[in-house]
Amino acid sequence: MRLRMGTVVAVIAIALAAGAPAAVAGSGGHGKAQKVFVVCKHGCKYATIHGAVKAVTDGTDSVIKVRPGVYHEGVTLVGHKYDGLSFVGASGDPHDAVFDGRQAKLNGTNQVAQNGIDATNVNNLTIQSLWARRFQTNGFFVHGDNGTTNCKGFLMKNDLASFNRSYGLFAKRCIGGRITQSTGWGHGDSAIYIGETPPQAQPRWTQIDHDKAYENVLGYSGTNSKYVNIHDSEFFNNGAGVVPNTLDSELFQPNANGIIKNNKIFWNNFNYFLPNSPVKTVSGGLGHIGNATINYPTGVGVILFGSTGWVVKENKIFGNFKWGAAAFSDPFNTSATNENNHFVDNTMGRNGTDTNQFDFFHDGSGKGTCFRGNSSSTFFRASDASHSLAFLYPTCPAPNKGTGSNQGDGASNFTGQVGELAGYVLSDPPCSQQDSWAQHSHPAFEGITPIDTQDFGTCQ
Amino acid sequence: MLVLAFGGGATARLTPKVVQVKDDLYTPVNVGLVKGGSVKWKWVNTIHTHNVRLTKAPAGVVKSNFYSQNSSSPTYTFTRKFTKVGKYHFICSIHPTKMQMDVNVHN
Repeated sequence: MRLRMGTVVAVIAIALAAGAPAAVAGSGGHGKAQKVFVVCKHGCKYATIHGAVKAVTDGTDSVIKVRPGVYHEGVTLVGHKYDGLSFVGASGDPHDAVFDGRQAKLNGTNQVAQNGIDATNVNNLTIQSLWARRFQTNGFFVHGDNGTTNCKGFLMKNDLASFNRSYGLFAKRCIGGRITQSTGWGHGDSAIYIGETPPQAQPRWTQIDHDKAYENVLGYSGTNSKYVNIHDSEFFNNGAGVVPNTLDSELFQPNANGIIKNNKIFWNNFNYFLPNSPVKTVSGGLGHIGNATINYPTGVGVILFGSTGWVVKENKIFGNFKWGAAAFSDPFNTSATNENNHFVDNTMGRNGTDTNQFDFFHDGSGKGTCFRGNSSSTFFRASDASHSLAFLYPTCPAPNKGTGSNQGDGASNFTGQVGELAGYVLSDPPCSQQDSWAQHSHPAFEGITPIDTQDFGTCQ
Repeated sequence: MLVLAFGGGATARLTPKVVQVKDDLYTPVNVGLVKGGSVKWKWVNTIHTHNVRLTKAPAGVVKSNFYSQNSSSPTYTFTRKFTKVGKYHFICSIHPTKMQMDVNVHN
C-alpha cells in the first residue's frame, strides 16, 4: 500500500507529539533505526526518566532523550539488556536537563535515590549533555560487578556534576571508556574517578579529556586505575588536582600505566578542612599512625601514590602552595610502590610568576621514577634526608635509581622525605596543613578566581 | 498473659535486625532470623560506595528483590523481609571478597 506524503507526515507528527518510542530518528550506525524515548515534564509519553527506562527492552540503539527540566529522580540499570543505551539532554546544554538529588526518588519508588544514573554491568552506556547534582552518593556511576568484562566501554560527554557527596563522574571496574568535555565541582572526594581497572593483555584505554574539575577534595582520583590517559583538561582550586593512587581496600592493585599530558593543573589550594568550607571531605582519613589520622594532602597539583608506569608530560603546573607534583609510596603496603614514573617536559611555576612552593617532591622509593626537561624546577629535599638530590630526583631514564622498595627516604623512623610527608598528612588539626604552604597572590588566569582568596574561617 | 506473649513475639518480628555496612565490612556477618523477620542494613561512616546483593537464596526467592542501591551516604538504610526458610548469602558487589555475610532464616 502506498501512502500519500501528507499521511506519512501526519503519522510522524502524531508519534512525535506523543513522545512515543518511534523508529524515526535515524540509524545507530549499523543499519538499525534508533528507538527514541522522549522525557519531559508535560506533554510527552514519559514524564519521568524512570518511566522511559522502564520502557526500554533493548538498550542497543535506544536513546532516552531528556527535555529541559529538573528531574528529582535517580535511576538504576542492571544488566546487559541496557548495553548501548544513551541518555541525552535534548537541548545539548547540560544546564537544561538536570538530575537533582534533593528529594530524588529511586526508580519511581519512595526510596531516596543515592545516585543520578547508576549502571551495573552495562556495556557502552552513553550519558551526554546532562547534569547530576546533589545526590547523596554519586552523580553518574557506571561499573562492572563480578568478573572483568561486565562494563566494556562508556561515554560521559558534555556532562556536569556538582555537589554530589562522593564522586561526580564515576567509573569502576570498566574496560575502556571516555569522560570528555565535562565539568565537576563541589565533591567530597573527586569530580572524576576511574577505579579498579582489570589488568588487560591488550588494554583498552580510558580517555579523560577536555574536562574541568574544580573545588573538589580531589579533581581526579583513580584507585587502582590503569590505562588512563588524562589530557587537555584543567584541574584547579581542588585540595589536590590529579591523584592516581593504590589502596589495598580495592581490587586490582596497583594503579599503573597512565598518562597525564598537556593539562593545566593549578591553584589546588582548597583547604576544605576549614570550618566554613562549602565542601567537606567524605574521607575519615587514609588510616592512622598511633592515634593520629592520615589525611589527604592539600596544596598539591599531581600526586602519584603507589603508582607504576605513569608519564606526567607537557603539563602546565603552577600556583600550588605545597608541591607542584609529588610521588611517593605507601610504606605500609608493598603493592603501593612507585615504579618507573616519568616527569618530563612540564612547565612549572608559570615562568616564575606563579610558583609552586616546590615543583617536585619525591620520597625516593621504588625504582625508576625520574625527571627530565621540566622548566625551572625546584626539588624538595628534607634537611635530614639521608639521600642526595641526585638520588631522589634522577634524570630520565633511571631504571635502577631508588630505594627499590616501598620504603622511601627515612621511612624506618619517619625522618627525611617520608618524615616531611608524614608530618604534613598527620597535621592536627588537618586544616593546619596550610601552615607549611608558601602562599602568594596569583597573576590572573583565564578569568578564574583562586580559591585561596576566599574566606572559609579560621583554622582552629 | 497470652496476649502479652503474643504481643512480645510480634514486636520481635517487627523489629529488624541491624547489620552495619562499613568500609569494607558487614557487621555482624551472620544473622539468625525467624521466618517473617527483617534485616536492616545501615551505612555507618562510609567513604567507599557499598551495596547489598543477594547471591544465594532458597528456591523461589527473587534475588533482585534483595539488591540495595550503591551508596556511601551515612543516612542510607536498606530493609528487607525474609519470608522463606533457608540460607541467604549476600555480598557487596563492589567489594566482593571482603564484604560477605549470611542470613539464616528458620521457623
